[in-house]
Amino acid sequence: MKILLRTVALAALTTGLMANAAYAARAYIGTYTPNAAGERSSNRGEGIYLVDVDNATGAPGNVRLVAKTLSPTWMTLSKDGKFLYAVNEVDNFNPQKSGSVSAYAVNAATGALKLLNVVSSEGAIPCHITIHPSGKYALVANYTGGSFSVIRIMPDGSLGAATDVIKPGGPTNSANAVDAPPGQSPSQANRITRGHMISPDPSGQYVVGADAGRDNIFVWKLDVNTGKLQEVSVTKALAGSAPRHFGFSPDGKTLYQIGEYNIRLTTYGFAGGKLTPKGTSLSAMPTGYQGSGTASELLVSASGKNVYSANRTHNSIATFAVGAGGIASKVTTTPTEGETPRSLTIDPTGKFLYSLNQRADNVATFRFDASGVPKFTGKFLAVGAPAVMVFLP
Amino acid sequence: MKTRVGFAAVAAVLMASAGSANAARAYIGTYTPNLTDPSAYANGRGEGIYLANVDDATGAISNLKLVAKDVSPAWFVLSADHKFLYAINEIDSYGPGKSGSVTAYAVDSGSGALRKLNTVDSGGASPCFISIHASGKFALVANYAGGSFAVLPIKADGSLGAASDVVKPGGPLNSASAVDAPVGQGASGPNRGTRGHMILSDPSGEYVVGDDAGRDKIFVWKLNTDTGKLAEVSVTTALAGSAPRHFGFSPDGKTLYQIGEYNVRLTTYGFAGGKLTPKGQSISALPDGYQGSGSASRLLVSASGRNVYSANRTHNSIATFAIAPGGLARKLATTPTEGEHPRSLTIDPAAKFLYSLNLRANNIAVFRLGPDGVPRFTGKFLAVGAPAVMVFLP
Repeated sequence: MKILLRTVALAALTTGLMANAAYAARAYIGTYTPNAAGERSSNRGEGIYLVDVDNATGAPGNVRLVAKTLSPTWMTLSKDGKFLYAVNEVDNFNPQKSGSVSAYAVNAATGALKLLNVVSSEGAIPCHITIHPSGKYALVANYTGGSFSVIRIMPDGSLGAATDVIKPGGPTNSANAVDAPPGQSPSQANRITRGHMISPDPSGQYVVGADAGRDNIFVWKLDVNTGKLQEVSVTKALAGSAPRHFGFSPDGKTLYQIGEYNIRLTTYGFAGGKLTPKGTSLSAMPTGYQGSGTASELLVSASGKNVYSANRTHNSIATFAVGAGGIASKVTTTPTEGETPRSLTIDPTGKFLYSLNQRADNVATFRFDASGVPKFTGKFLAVGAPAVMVFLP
Repeated sequence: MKTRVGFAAVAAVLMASAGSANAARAYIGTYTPNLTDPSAYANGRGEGIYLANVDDATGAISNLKLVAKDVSPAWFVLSADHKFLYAINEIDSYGPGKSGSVTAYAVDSGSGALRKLNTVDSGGASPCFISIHASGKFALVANYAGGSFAVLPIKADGSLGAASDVVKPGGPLNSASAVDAPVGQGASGPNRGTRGHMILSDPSGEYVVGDDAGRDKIFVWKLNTDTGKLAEVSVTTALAGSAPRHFGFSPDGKTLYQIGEYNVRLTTYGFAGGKLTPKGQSISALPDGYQGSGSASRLLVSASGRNVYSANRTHNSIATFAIAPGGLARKLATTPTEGEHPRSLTIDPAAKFLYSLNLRANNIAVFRLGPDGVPRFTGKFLAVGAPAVMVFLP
């Protein structure tokens, strides 16, 4: 019996060490969890998982649940990697039917998460969160609540109360974008504000928010003492295009914007907190596409040479090459190897791309070729309803 | 004014010449809006049955026109003489018994127009498959939610009579997931009852085969063409939880290829004397190493018998299998469908093109079959609301 126990202990030790040696990177994966009331009652995620990532093959493995929480579908690490902030994409946190945000302390050695606190996101169905460069505030976009909120980060890493909540108004929009694919599904009637993303620009001077409901892109300045957002500019995107996600060129002078409903990449010059359209928009779908579609994620590579977007319904990744002056051209579309890519992630070495295929319950691993096009590696990882993946430093 | 009329005449001539370029025609059936239960599977943006022209050089589909406004005609079949079309209505609201229905149409061979003859009870809720018995005297219907297989007499005028037989298999419920399903497969529905998913005559015309995707059974019957009654010949139990969904025969009728909806695997059976005998190992229709959810839909055997195709929903791909002498299959490739949720696949009569009916992308994608039988995307899409089935006119 003693011998058997010792063998087991040795095996565990050996396996653990070997696993650590082979896996040089780690990442958190956030998922959709069952929502008894809603249409996504069949979501099979359980919360936040930790995975080891083999940095030779790119394959994620050794998936384990590190935080049981409701639909942590977007999350971000603090700059020092000590804290993780995750939205809970719910609409029943409090009597106001808001969503919530959970703060976790990260155990750097094990990757374990310790829940610090949970606060209101100040709007239903939060779907995006980033940290302001000051490190003092979390920025949250609330989809159904139609708001953007600023939440104070306390010295111990926990979250305080919201210092500002912006809830844009204005006329509702039920139009379909005129440049949507033939056969695109009609957009929902009378869409109101849908906060879909909020992020600081690379200079740290501005905060940008995409409103996919009223087709507006907001630029604010954040007063780091009061935590209040002050509007600098509002850019009207094409009616019905539903600006959803965006990314900046490394120099911060160009903003790439993907429209959820027209599935097109629009490029803007970004200077003085103002957006100026650059060139014409480009479809992220194959040439001649007909039928339905909704874009989800947009990513800019660290080098700035490529832009990627995820096409749900067509279930593909569009690769764009960035030319002189930041102008993009479409290179190709690559199948995601699974249904409903909710987001894409590039690993810190810039070698691999991951497609989080929400309704296929898998993450597919791609390796970039020399031109920046993702090629499927043949590696899948089963995870229930994956939505977001964040690498640990 | 006269000049303008002249232009119109020229335009008409041009349209006629466009018509001569499109040598083939096909009907496309769709899911239509389900206002009482928008969360139901049978709910889509289609309006009924469409007729389209098909360019037999490029395979491209065009000139889509609605020829029958009907409720979710999600599967249909032409009579052997192509004079009649029989379409199920995938509903659960027909009559006091909350059944589904089947609608009979007369086909105008010149224009392709459809004239409705009558609508009858399908013998169970949510019918999803219909074929014509080899005798031409009966329509055979599989009812998914109703869990039954029905035989509907075809009258001399092409209209349908009341069911001559409804087989509703019982037996223990099944809630197991198939042991050979992909790693991470979504759990199967709890306590599945009988789910009639397909019913078809074998090539000899002697037998009728039915797939029960709920209790994992494959039934073989003989149809008495005088009484319209099915007599059971054999019942084959497929792997628990595999959900046998669609099947096809080799041209000689000696081999049956079966796709499991939940294990997403192709199983090959020898077929002789109305009995099925497993042949070799089952093969996954998904890429090697696949993890995650998936559900197979359609299975097709090429007219030559050299290839078998299946459609993978969730992975949204078409699996191509090569058939070796003796009928054993080997997987060649998976090809992206270019749209979400392929409900079915169709090969054109010239066997040059394959069509993927991508239900949730609201499109049909056109593929050309390569020398090895693998479909290659042509770049051609056609927008259609919630397409489910496509049948070529001769």
